[in-house]
Amino acid sequence: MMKQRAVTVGFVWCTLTAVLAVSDGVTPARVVVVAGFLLFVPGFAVSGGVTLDDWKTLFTLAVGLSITLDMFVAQGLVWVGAWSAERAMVVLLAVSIAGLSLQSVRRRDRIRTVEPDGAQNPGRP
Amino acid sequence: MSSPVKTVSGEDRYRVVEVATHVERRRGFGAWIAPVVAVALGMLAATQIDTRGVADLGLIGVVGPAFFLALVVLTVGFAWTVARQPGRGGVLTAYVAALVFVLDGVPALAESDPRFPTAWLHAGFVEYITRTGSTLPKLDGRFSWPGAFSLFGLLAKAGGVDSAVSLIRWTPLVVALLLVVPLRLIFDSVTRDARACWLGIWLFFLLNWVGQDYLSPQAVGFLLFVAFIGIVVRYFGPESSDRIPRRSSARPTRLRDWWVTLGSPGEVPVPTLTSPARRMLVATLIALFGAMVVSHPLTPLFALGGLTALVLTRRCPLRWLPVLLAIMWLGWFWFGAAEFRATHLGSVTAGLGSLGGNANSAIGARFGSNVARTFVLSMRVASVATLAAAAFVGFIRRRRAGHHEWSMALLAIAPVPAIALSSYGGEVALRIFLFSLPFAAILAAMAWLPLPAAVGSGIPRPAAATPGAPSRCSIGALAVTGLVLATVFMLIRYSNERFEQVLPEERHAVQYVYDHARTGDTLVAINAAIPWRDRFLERFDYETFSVPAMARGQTRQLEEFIRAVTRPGARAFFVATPAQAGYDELINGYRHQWLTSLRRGLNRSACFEPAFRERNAFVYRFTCIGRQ
Repeated sequence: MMKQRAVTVGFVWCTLTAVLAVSDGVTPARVVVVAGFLLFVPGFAVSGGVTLDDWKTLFTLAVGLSITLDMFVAQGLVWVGAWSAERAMVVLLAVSIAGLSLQSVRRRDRIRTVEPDGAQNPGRP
Repeated sequence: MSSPVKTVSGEDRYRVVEVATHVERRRGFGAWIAPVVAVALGMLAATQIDTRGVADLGLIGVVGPAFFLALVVLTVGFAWTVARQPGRGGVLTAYVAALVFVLDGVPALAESDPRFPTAWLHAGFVEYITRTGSTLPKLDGRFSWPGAFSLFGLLAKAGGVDSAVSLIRWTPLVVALLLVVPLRLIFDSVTRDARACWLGIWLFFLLNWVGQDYLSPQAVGFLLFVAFIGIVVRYFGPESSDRIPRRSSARPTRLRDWWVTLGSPGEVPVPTLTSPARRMLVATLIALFGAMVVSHPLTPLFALGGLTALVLTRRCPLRWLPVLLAIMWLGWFWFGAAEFRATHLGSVTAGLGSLGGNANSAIGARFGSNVARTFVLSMRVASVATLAAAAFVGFIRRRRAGHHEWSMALLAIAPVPAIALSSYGGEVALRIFLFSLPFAAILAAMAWLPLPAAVGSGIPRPAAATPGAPSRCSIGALAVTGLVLATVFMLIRYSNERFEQVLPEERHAVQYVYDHARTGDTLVAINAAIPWRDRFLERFDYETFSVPAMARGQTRQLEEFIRAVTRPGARAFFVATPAQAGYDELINGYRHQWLTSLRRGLNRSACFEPAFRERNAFVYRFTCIGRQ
């Protein structure tokens, strides 16, 4: 449940980031939202496929992999001579949305598979 | 005394439970008061700090009583909560966050401009990458490891800020807060005792005075290092003692016992992973290491050293991984950092095997003639020695209780051999301390806690005490220790404030030069304690020059130097600021107020023309280019 909520937050964060990143204005909110996205979302999106219930591990993976992905994408664009922050953000948003969508679909499939026999929710009326 | 819930029934029972829950909730809210009060006191202290008044001991002399009151509230509240309510993770997280805010955030709030000239230079690397979309390894060796600079560039540009200088002020705070959970992941692999875990985190932040968390590749690298080690020790630790190969015919000896315990699991079992999860985590380790490799030359070596130590002692089953990671590091050093290798290989390998020379440049040579600086350096050595002693005591106590914290001990020791590799510009001792700190901190935390119950693994050991709640006396001792460590932190971490802070007049002087200099001109400063090169990195020739004669107002050597380094047809500017003067006073033993003598000498010289002055920051135009 916690993970499903995190996936939803991830989608919302991606949308906010996309909206703010294309705006011209410089606001503290933009810095905070973009920094929050770059520090958590890509890593959470790609690591979410692993069945680990420990939130500390998920947090560590989210931060570590987010920084790694951001760095690889930004540096990769520098190496191929195509550096642009907008391009990097498009790549990272695409990776994040793809990862989150995959998690969302897998989660829904799992619930659909186990729900008929009630094994997942024994206390449900 | 019996519980009131047991003596009532029916509707009343629900009412009593409701009241009890309400009381518990009120008590629960009460626990949040101390961190909130500490943050408020910290913010009040920030308004009272006069950073212009810093003397040779640094910021500690000007922080004021509100700051120390914040530390008292935090240390007493934390000691009580961690001892009596260790399960309240939210409250303890708030305490840690408040501590980080008071130690890192309050000075950031108090200073007029973001601190540390090296961070400004890093902002310049970021500016170059975002402006040109390329790196310039011929200009500066740090460009051979550009990963973190590209990351900061992406953060600045996507965040909509003009320059990465805007990121400098809050980077230490953000990095520290991001470290909390990965540190907890590491400590969770050692013990189930939440008190030890929180106390380890508390000690880590109180002792992390190294100051490598500014806008820099090493700050990002350290965060990745902690995440890397966290995954290794949590998921790839020794699995079970019955899997350890033992020679049944061998006679039990102390050496054999030691070898068995070296590879035996600790208190916390390693979770069983599914194959996809295992593959994913191994891939994550390789990716994290890859990010370290392209960001910083030294950090991956510490990660590799720690992992190798665990593999060699059978505490990590990923035997092939160190080999792969070593190939990755070598591959980058050889091909990715080819420019650096071609020009700096000699200087890098010069310290190889020179244990005494490296140790002297890292510790001995730093002690100078300045009394305040000698005192601060002595405090650094004392704090390292105290931590090492406490960690040793914690390790021995846990060992006697039957828990073998070998992973933490090995990881704490693994960085030490780096002292035989290189002096790393005299900083190798600081880096060794930083990379040992998380593991030494959790062992030191165990020195304070009551012993856990003994576990059996066939090795004789004395009976251990059952862990219980620490006494009031013990809690008081912890609070006092915390307060002492926090004070020592402030003394050590901000002792260089005279040349690490950036004053408005210094920024204005640099701005004047950038407004008036042309491409190819030479800009000369006394030393590197100046907030420049945050832009126009490649546009000017930047030089530094300082000799003791300048402190006596003699400028002849300075004139010769500027004449020698200025290109034909170009102009030259000389910039002097209070931070640069402070640097030479503290590090090189120049006398106080020597900048006034220098200014008089420059005014007397026919080669220097005053161009800008604001307080003690001034710029001179050099007018003797080409004249002999």
